[in-house]
Amino acid sequence: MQPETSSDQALVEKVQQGDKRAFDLLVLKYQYKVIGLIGRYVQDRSEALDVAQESFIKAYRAIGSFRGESAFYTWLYRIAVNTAKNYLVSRSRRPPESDVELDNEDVFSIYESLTDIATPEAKLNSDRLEEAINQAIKDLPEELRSALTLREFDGLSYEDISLIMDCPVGTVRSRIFRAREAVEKHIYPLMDAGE
Amino acid sequence: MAALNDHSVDKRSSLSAMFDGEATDKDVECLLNADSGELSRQLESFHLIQQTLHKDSKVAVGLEDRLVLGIRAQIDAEDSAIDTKLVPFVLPAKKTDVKASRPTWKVMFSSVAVAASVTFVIIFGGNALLTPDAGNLNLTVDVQSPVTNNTVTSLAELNKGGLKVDNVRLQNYLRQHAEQASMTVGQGMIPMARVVSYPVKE
Repeated sequence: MQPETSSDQALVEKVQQGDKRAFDLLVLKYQYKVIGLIGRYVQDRSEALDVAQESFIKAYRAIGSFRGESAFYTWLYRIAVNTAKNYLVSRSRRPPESDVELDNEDVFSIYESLTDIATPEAKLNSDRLEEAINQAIKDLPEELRSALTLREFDGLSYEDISLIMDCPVGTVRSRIFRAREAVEKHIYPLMDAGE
Repeated sequence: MAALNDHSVDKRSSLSAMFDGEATDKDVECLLNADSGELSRQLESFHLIQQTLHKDSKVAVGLEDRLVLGIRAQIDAEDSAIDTKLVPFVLPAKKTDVKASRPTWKVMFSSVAVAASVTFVIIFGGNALLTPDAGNLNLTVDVQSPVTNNTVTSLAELNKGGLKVDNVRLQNYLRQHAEQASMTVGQGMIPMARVVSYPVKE
């Protein structure tokens, strides 16, 4: 789980002031999580994308009433789940009896339940990607690997990581970024192949 | 060229921080001006790395910025539709004086006065019609009661001398009204006929 963000709140405030580009950034940041979440309810990929789009538009329309009492993603999560359920009801399909828990939702794979993604070719590509990422992470210098895993696997804030690694927050930020860049170089060719 | 690369690195670094929820205002400003396709591509790889570390790597690639572009297009279309619809309503609203749209005290007072007049006419008109000869006010009404045999109420006690003139004026008015109504609207006769034919016990 990522720590709840003050930068999200900054983006939300910009959207509330009429800056649509800030909402674009929020969509870009959360689109994978939202599609993964909706994929638990709506199996078809194109339908899931439509529901995700509707969810984001509902969020945009209602963002004026968002007061930051909860994290933005928690709020968006509720909108997405309700939109997915309403979609199923409108299609005379029964929504699942229990909701996806917010805490568990993070570990669900994006698209893993979407039917047209689970082709043998997609599965093979996905396995290759996973292998490449794991290998790239293993090849990282120790300081970069530690910073990245503390952030991604343990979900620690930059400040907490800086205390653990005994270095400034700016250094943590830089190490995590460099680690991601290094892994990206390994996976870009595979991402292109997957399209 | 080096400056361009530095700018690109700064942008990617800002995106990495935003992904972690650690972006500063400067990062946000930097990202607001970035190309959404480029950002989406990079975020996709961040998600892949994150999910792999969560042992959950089945991320579909190739979403890029299609979703965000679709959302933006729909929002823009809805906004322009709303703007178009609002024009005829917004412009008159600016010219409307809120005070002018409220009823003034004169209007309210005249409404109350008319209502009071009508009430007055109905009450005293009814009384007058119950007394065909307003000059002879010795009318008594016997009311049979199971408790007391005779209860007498004298209308003469209730009516004073000044009422006589009013009753005459009222009857004239009602007669004129009935005649005029009968000439204009046929229905006008009906309520008056009922009143006139009200049985009076002498």
